[in-house]
Amino acid sequence: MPEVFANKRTKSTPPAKQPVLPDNPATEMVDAVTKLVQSGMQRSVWHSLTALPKGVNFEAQNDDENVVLFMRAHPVTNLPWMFAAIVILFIPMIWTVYPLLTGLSIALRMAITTAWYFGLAFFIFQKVVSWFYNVYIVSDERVIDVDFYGLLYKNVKTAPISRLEDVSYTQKGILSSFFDYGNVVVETASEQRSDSGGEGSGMFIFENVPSPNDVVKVISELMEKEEEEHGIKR
Amino acid sequence: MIDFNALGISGDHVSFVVGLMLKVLLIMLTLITLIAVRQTTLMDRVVKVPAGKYFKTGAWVFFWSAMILTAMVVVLV
Repeated sequence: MPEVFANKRTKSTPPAKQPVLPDNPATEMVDAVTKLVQSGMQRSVWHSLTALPKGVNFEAQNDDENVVLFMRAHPVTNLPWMFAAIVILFIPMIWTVYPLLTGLSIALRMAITTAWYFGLAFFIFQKVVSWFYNVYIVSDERVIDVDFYGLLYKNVKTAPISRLEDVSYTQKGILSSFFDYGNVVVETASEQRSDSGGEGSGMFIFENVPSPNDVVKVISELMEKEEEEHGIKR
Repeated sequence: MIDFNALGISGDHVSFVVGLMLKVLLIMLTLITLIAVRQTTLMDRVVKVPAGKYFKTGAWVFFWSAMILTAMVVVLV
């Protein structure tokens, strides 16, 4: 039938609404990641657990490698230093009663107070930066643990998914149960030299990450997928 | 106000010592902020995130603020 006779009024039914999945169609996602994205998980890098984050890359990332999970410690773990910062904030307000300081010139007292608040601001900045960059990345090819302690220590550990042997998690304490965060322990077949790896040098510990059960599910599925693809026996 | 002279200590000497300590402290703080600039750049190289540029800018702001503050304290106090 010529096209002219076709009923142009017929409207095609709109496709069912699909969740927004990654921009890169090459990503073959595991079910657990799909569920995380479908459950409305944020994909902003400011969140402590992000599935398929936007615009996140890491050193030595392959062209066809995709970041599946991007994690850092739960924000609640920042409470101790925040409390310390609040205490430090109020100290200059009470030190005017301290007799030794009142004996100093006004210019010097002002300089001390300014330096105090500057130091406090820098302390807060440093803590936020450390929290922000202490990240754990799970890509479709490997797991990466990036540790920055203070200003002078950096430790980056990586292990391919094919070398992972076991993954588990622990939740200890009231806060971790209430806010649902815990340590995810990933054991690898490789023996790595590390200062911070704890008892097992080939062990990755993702400290205080949110929803550890979801993280374990994703890593387990990636391991299964790798096993199917390459016939790895564990 | 405490009377340093009554304690047998010159008030000027106390101010001088405290001022000197403050200056040394600020110079050290400036050096630490410079290290923070370098470290933030390294962190951004290891893990590239869109917000990384804000931290780099923040570190530079701290460094230059520390420089200015230190210079002011050294010259004026």
